[in-house]
Amino acid sequence: MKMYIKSVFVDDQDKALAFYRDTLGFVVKHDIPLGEYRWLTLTSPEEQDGVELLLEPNQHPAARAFQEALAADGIPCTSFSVDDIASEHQRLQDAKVSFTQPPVKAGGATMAVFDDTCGNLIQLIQLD
Amino acid sequence: MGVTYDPQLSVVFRSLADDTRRQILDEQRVRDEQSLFELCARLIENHSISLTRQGITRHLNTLEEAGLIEISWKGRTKFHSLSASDLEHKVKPWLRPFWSGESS
Repeated sequence: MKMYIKSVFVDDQDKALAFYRDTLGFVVKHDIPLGEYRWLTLTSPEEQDGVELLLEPNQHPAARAFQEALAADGIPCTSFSVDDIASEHQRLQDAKVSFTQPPVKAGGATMAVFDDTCGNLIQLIQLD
Repeated sequence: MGVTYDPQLSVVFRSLADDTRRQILDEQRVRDEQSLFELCARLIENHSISLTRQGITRHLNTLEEAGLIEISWKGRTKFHSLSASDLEHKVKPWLRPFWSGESS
């Protein structure tokens, strides 16, 4: 059994596509119309056959409640890793990404948290 | 003399009479305006505090009632900041005579 999909709820799939593709730099794998929404997945340019990020609509009230509760406490819903968090933090700030937390050393890694503009906080992590 | 009988003075001292709560204030001095997530990460990393987030939230509520922590919202996230007003205006004046040798 392998890791296949990592799922993130988003309030708007078009806005999410723009953020995850154009700001974060992920590449689209599937964009398949499915009635009102689409099956929209991206991969890392560094791992195009790897785990897919699924951007799911948050229409279910439980999904929105989940997002709001996590965001209120500053808790990220998922995590992406980078080799150099200091330069990625700078690059994203220059691209007007809003961070709730700058890079902080925690548990043998360094991690920061930013807002994906689609209802989520996302963790950026550099493993030592 | 007036400050000594202020009930808020007891509330402040009681809230400070806890190791974890003083460590929370120490971390807030290092970096102000922290989300719960950041504060918990710093407490685990720097003080090996293994309380749950709910446990830390209870301490933050006590500190907020004592006027030592203030809440603000940025977007959808709640941030905690140091609020030193009661320390400055009530605790410090009450403690100062003990060091300066002034009579109250």
